[in-house]
Amino acid sequence: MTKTVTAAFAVLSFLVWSPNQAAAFCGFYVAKADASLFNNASQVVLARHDNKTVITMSNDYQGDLTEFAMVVPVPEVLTKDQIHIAKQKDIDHLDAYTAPRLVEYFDKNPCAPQFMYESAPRASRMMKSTGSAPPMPQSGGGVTVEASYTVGEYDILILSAKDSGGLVSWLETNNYKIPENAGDVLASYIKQDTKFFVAKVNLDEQVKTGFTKLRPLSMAFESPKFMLPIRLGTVNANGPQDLIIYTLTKKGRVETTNYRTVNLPTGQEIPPYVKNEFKPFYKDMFSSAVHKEDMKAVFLEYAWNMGWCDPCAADPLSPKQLRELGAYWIDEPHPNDSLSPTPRPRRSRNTLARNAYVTRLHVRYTGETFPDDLRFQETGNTQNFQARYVLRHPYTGNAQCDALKNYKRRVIERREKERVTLAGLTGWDMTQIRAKSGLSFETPTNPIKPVKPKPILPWYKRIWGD
Amino acid sequence: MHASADPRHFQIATLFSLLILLIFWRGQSVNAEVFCGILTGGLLAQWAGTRRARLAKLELKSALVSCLSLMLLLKTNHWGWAMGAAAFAIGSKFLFRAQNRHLFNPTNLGLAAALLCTDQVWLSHGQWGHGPFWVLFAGCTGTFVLFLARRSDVTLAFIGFWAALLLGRAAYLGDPWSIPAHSLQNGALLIFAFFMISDPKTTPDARLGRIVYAGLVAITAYVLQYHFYNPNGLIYALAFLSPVTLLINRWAPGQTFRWPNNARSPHRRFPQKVAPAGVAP
Repeated sequence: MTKTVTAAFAVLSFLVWSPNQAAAFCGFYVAKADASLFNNASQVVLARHDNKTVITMSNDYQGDLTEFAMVVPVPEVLTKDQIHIAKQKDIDHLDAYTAPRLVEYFDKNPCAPQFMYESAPRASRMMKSTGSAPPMPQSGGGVTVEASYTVGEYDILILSAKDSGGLVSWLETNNYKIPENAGDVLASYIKQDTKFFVAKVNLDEQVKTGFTKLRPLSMAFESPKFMLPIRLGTVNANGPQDLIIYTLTKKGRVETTNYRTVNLPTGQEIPPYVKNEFKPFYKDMFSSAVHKEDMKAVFLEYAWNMGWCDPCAADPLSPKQLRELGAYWIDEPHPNDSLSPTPRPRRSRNTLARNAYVTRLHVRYTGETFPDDLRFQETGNTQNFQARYVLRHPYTGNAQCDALKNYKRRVIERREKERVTLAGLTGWDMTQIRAKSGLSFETPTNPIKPVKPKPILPWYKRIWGD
Repeated sequence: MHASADPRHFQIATLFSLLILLIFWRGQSVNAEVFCGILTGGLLAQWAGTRRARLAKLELKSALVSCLSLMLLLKTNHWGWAMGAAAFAIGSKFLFRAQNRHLFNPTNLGLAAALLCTDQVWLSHGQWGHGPFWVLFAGCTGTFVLFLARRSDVTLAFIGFWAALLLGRAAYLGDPWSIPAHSLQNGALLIFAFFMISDPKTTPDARLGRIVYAGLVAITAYVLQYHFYNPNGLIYALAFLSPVTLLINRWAPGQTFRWPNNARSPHRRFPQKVAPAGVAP
């Protein structure tokens, strides 16, 4: 039976395509449970320090396991010890920790002095959560099977090839279905002395694991290249793909060197009803931001020292989790170094400070707008950044005082600004926004009356006021 | 009118425009402390160097060009590094001299030294984005500046060599042309070509020498960037190779460039007064 190389990681050029792959392998971001928010999204964790890289690829493949296969370019022949089965829950935790978030503030009684704070719902989906060698396929046609392992539920081959034609025909002979146009891209990688990591599911081993879903695969290697090969993933892609990259580094932020890294809009106040529509909000806001940059930019969604957060969408990852994801430079966790039950939303930097800096990048790309692979650099930039949107709830209790009238006027003005901001961020229709964000004390007869801009008065009228 | 003859006025105007574009169009966040650090370090170094060299006039234009370039390129969290890099950059004009000229482009050397000294300084090569706009902008403004300084050959030669290397790489790998085209439209590359390697004071005097020099810089940068995967290859290549200018000048002598400080004639629109080699700037 022919295995379809699933467009698994559009990312590491994970060449693997299938006619019915949909978003298959690399998961949907920012969705509750199994609902998808971004189609064709992949998630990759890149932990890197001193030329040592650990790449973990999340795996949400939900099709027939006999159809699953993937091919990933790697810089060297990996030994079995360099391949590892990671925990999906760690990636989900990282997703939750770094996800764009809402922050709510509640106005206090305007007749008694002043406001403040509350919780931080996040855009992420909520938290959810080695064996013997397989029969060795034969080398031939300029393709050498450098190694063969079974790791967890995966049968893995490491291939080297002399030319792309030989590699394509070898893969096809061994029942891997390769897209038509992959040859040129494969040839480019072969000339750059790249090896190929090929994985498929060992059904017997998969049953033994007791997991219904495929688990993430990690690879550790040393290479001066700090990059993600995305070209293979664009070969047969139907439209744009989303990729979320989490980097774990020691010093500071990671940015792309061959594409512009842009901060996602952040800090804006938007109408509180968005709390119930945060996922469509985030999806449309991201699409709008991508459109404004002509799909030529990589977006920064989060950059923070893993030791703390404020507000926290989820607890920071423990040292053990970070090491599991490849942050090898982090010391072994002390027996007493469990996460303290410090309540969210704020984590003190003193309780969890450690040498891990997380950067979350989100890119939507096609072969036209991102012709080359993504190249990165770690910088000394430790400035914190989070995609955060503010909801301010007006005071709704009983109050009677002279200040109330002014307060209501200010809230109405504020709400109108929030609507304009929301429309600007998402492209949503203003009439609908007004209909959903009406205030109880706005003029009931005309709750969605557009606010006309004040006419510009002649200068002399602005002096004397009449 | 005579002021218009000095290309540095156009350089300052262009670099300032780029800074405005970077901040307001590209949305680059402004770190006022870092900017102040660069200006303070650079101008103080220029003043100190002028005193030490007992020069009659405090020349601020060149210092301002270097400071603006650093404000465009250098990224750091701390003003101290910014001040140090700027001071070293300008100071290098007075410290590293041979044949009565400074050896290094100040901005380039300041950046290279800071990058080698600390990981608290970095360059954001992607900050400019890619696109025809940058080609047009750099082409129009840079060419005008270079035309005035009569050193456009080094820039054009560098772009030619660099494009040949990238296109050759793509041809060898079988990559689509969109990949080298994408790299060639990078704003950072164009700024390097039009505002850094083009420094008439630190490039060889003869046209042939400048073309050879541009080729050496392009090849070295290519090796650093595509074989050692160093994203700062262009900066390092220029800094490492600047002293080679002396050898090239010996091999292919020419007339030393001189900024038109004394251009007084309203009719003298371009720098015509070119001093013979060996004359102090």
